[in-house]
Amino acid sequence: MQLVLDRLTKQYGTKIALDRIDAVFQPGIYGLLGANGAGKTTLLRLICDILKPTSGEARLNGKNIGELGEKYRAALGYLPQEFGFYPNFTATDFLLYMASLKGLNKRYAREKAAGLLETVGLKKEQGKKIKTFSGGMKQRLGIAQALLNDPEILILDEPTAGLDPKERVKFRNFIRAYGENKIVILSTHIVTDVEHIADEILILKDGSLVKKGTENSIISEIAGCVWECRVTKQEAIHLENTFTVCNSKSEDEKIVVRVISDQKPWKTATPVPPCLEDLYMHYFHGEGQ
Amino acid sequence: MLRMIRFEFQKMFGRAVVIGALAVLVFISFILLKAYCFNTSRTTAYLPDGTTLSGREAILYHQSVAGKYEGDFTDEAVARMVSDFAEEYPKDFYGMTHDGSVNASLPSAYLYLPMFLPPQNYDEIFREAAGKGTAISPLTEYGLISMREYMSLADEPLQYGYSDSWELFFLSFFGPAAAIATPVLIVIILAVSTAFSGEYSMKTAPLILTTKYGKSRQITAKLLASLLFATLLMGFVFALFCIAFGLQYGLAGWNADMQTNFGLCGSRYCPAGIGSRSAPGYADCFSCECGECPGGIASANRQFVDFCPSSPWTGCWGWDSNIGCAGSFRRYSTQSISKLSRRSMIFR
Ligand SMILES: Nc1ncnc2c1ncn2[C@@H]1O[C@H](COP(=O)(O)OP(=O)(O)O)[C@@H](O)[C@H]1O
Ligand SMILES: [Mg+2]
Repeated sequence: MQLVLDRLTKQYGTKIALDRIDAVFQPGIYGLLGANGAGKTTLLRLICDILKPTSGEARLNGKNIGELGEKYRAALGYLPQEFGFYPNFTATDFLLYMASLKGLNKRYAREKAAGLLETVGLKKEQGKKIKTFSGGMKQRLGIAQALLNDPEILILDEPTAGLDPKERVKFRNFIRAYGENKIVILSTHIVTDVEHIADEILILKDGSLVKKGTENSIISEIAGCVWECRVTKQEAIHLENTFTVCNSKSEDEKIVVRVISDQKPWKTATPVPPCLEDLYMHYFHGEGQ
Repeated sequence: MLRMIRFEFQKMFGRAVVIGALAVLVFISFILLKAYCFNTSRTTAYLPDGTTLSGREAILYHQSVAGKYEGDFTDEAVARMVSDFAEEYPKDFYGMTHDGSVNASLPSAYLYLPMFLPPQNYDEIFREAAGKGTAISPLTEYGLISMREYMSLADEPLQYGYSDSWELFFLSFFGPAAAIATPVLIVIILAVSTAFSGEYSMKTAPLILTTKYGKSRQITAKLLASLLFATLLMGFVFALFCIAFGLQYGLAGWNADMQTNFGLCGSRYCPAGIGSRSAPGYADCFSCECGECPGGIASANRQFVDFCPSSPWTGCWGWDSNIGCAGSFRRYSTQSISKLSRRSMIFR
């Protein structure tokens, strides 16, 4: 199973939302990182064939996904970033409906739906109407529907939005297991969602793929450039105005500031090993989350 | 596929607009029923003693009168009707043969008799009837128009029986109360359009469109669900009308022989205009296109005789949309007369 993106480009009017994206996906977990507006959703929609590329194409095992049509969609599971439900359906109704669209037989669908509701922690709410659900419950139901057909290609657009910390951990563990032999592509602007579980990280900025590789290989780019400085409040403000600051935390009366800089930024600064968050800040410093 | 259709229905009925529209539709149905079916001259009965019945009692009275003539609809039966009519409602009989002033709530059996009363014989008929009382005179003595004149090719006698209330129902349902069609259509459009546009307005499209059948069978399911919805809704409204009508007026006459719907479209003097079927005092008025009827209004009015002097026929009769003046009527071939007759039988 190999999904290839070949110079995939999407233009909205004159705005180029995605610029010639090349990538190869094989079973494994792929983290698509980027600030809001970077083009993550657009890229995932292209991969799901609900948006047509302006140019370029996506191929599964050498065949254009649009031409594969039903066959491609049969192998696909998709959690959109924004989507709606039928408010009067119960969680079970909804999953059974999606299962019928996915062509699953009725008996299997019932079992599968019940199992997935258990997995995403909605077993108790399975008979309740979706209009009574909270945002997080809807998100979990969305994840469940994506998994109904055991997709070979699972596309998740900001899957952790609305999940509480405990649910995030549970979700990460589930994905780690699922990605062993399936292609999982998940987008996020929250680094910790993909840190340590993604086999490969893709960093998307302003419609271009700026970085791609394993976590270790891409963070090595800023090795030796990350520093921690123990300073006063005034000095911290000065540092924030001068350098890219990844993090700052209070310790006693002082503030520990984590800075990215080619040179030693402060006389008492000590070098620290970089992490993915640092790299993200390096690329998206100054942009809104 | 069945599952998908079922879910489409579930979606449709999950929408407040659709439910609301259905509720409004039921409400409108009852208003229309009230206005058109439960409130016409045919649901009142004017009795020989001058009292007036209404509603179910009126219907039952009309039924009992019609019941007296049930069976073969022959010239003899017509003669009996004329005779009974003359005796029970002398005033209206006089009206029918003189100035056209008959009560619209007369028993339905009598209401169409002008068709058999040739205006030039009115005086004679009236005299005869008054003189004979309840006795049935031979047809020729009355000078009634024979059934054969209308149904020259019919080999079997027509069957007469009560049909008025359900005839009224069907006329109402497919006639004026077909006004119900508009709200029904609106509900159908609402429901069906939400079946299609709902996926976008509810933002479920990205979910649907990435499933195996989301772009293919789903459309078929939606189309079938829409078709089924439209059919069921139409059936539902019809059933609603049937039940309401049946509860109100009973079932008698619903299965009347088709032949009893024989087009007895006798018309009276229509001073104001045409189409005043329900106007009190005038049983039937319709427009005449024969060019020989005064003002284009057809009636068996005596004055009319002057306009068709050459014709032994002295009335204009409506045959659905084909209006024939007696004069021109005569000029139809026998075959076309029978065709006309049959048509009027079916569509009346
Ligand atoms: N339908 C659209 N029409 C025009 N511009 C769009 C449309 N969808 C997205 N964009 C633009 O494309 C860019 C990428 O958007 P998106 O893919 O949603 O980013 P992300 O998911 O990374 O936040 C944004 O600048 C956005 O404004
Ligand atoms: Mg997005």
